[in-house]
Amino acid sequence: MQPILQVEDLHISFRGEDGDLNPVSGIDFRVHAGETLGIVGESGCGKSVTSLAIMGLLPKGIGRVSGGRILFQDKSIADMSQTDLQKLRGNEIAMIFQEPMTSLNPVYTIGEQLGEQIRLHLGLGKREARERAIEMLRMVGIPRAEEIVKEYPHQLSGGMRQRVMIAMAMSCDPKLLIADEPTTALDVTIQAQILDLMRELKEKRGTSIIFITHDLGVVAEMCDRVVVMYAGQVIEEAAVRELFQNPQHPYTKGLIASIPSLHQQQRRLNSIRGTVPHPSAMPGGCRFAPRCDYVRDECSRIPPLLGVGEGHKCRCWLVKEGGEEHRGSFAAGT
Amino acid sequence: MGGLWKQCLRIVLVLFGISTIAFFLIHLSGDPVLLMLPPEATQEEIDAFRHQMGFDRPLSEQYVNFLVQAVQGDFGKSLKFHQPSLDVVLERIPATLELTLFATLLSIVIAIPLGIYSAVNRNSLSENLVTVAVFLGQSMPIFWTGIMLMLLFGVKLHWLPVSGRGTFAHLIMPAFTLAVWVAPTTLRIVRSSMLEVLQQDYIRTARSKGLAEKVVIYKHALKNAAIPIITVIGFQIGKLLGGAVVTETVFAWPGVGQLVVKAIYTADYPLVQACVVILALIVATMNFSVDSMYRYLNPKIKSG
Repeated sequence: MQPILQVEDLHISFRGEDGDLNPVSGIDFRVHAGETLGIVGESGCGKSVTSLAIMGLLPKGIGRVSGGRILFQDKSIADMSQTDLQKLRGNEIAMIFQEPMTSLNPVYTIGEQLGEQIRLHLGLGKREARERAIEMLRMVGIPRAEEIVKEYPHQLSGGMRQRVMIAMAMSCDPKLLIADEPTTALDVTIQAQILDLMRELKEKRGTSIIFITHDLGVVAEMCDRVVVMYAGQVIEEAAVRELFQNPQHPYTKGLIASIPSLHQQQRRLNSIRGTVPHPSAMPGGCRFAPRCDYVRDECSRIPPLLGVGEGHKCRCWLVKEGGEEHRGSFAAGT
Repeated sequence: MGGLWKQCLRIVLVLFGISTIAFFLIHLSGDPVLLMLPPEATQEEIDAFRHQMGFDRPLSEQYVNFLVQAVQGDFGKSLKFHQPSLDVVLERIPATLELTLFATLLSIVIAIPLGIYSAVNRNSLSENLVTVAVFLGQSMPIFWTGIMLMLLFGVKLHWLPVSGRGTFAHLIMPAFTLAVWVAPTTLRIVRSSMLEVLQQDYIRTARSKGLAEKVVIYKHALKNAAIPIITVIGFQIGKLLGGAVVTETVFAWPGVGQLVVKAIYTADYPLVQACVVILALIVATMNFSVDSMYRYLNPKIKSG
């Protein structure tokens, strides 16, 4: 199966006050048609920056792709002209952002904001675009869609606004949808509704989705495959079931262990000690080493991303190629 | 509806305050009678004139009379023109409005594109050039700019008429002088307002929809940046009317500004008062219109 999106050895650098920072240093992943790929990691691990790079939207003059490439349907994003990119954005690749409260323009009506994109990419007239906008709003479960198109963002709740964002993103039938923490800012009940909606849309339309989140619960519910990122690198990649049943990297294990369980009585929540290193102070070897309970001598060198099983890769000295897990204190720790 | 009444009341209060200040400033700044009569006038003539003008009554009574008449649109006869002052002022109003409105338009045409340009190309060489131009424009005294333009385009190059009003060519130099004076302030507000808006999430959304950068900036960003910009343009019109006093004098532009300067020199009290009140009315109305534009620009104000 041909992947719709390939990210190969992607490096992103940002101009900082004292020298360049590299929030993303060498990540690889692929998204296949109809697949939902989860990208998981703590804030600051480079997942949002990666999504902006896919859209060609890194802040001008500050951030840039400094290595590797991004191929969308076998065409390199970096080689595209601004005009080509504009034809891609909102049309073939669409994006939903974390903050529904601030992601819609406060001074234009919902209908105008949906309509301008539909007119631009689908070449529809004003009236047809309006009809399509109403149809999209109905599809994402917004009641009284005919009236909502005349309203302004501040007249809607956060959940409604995120539905509008989804309607907007889906309005031109994109092949790839990038959802950057789409439910993080919402109430839990609304969160569940939005996730249901996205799953339903995906099944109906066969859209590929990159689902960026720090919430493993959401990943388990939404994704087919998961990429775990840490400090600008991919540290583990696996099918979602495999990842939860057989996590390899100490960081992934820590993440999974930190999900509170309903079945076990716990006094304290599990957590991973320490914080993500700042891009200006990356450890030389394994980037997780300073927080890792299983750190050893080899960890002062950068571990390679090794295949450890069917579609399962891990970046750790403690695991061996082919899935032969290194025995020792490591196994006892889980 | 309540808002409209409040606005009207505010305008009335402003006019009352301004005319009161003008009245007392004028009456406390010397004896007009001595200025108005020829030096060889006898004491009897002086007394008679003073009585005729009502200057011999107590100040408080003169003030009440002034107010009662002013409310009826009567500011007294101009001492120089021997016509009702208000008529003299109203006759000059079109010239001043023409000058200030054209200057405002010109300043907007200069400030908005340059302000946006310097916000979008932050920290570039060309942005620094704009900053230098802003600095120069703000520091040049208005009469000096006027005289320099006059020297260059009027006296040396003979491109434009040096003074007076009549054709469009007459309007260019005085309007440009005023525009150069106010545009830098507008430009700086445009720049800072755009810089803030361009960082907002909805701008990222607009880009992610595939809109051209021009549409992102002029449609999505500019309308959000507009409220502070409109506010400052509204204030600038007040400032322009003040600047018009100088500019009209420099370019012999027959407007209210030139009139008020002449009226002050000749101690034409009724005329000064009429000028001040009318200018204040224009400024207050301008601010009122700015407030109404907020409603159009920000849907939250409309419904709130």
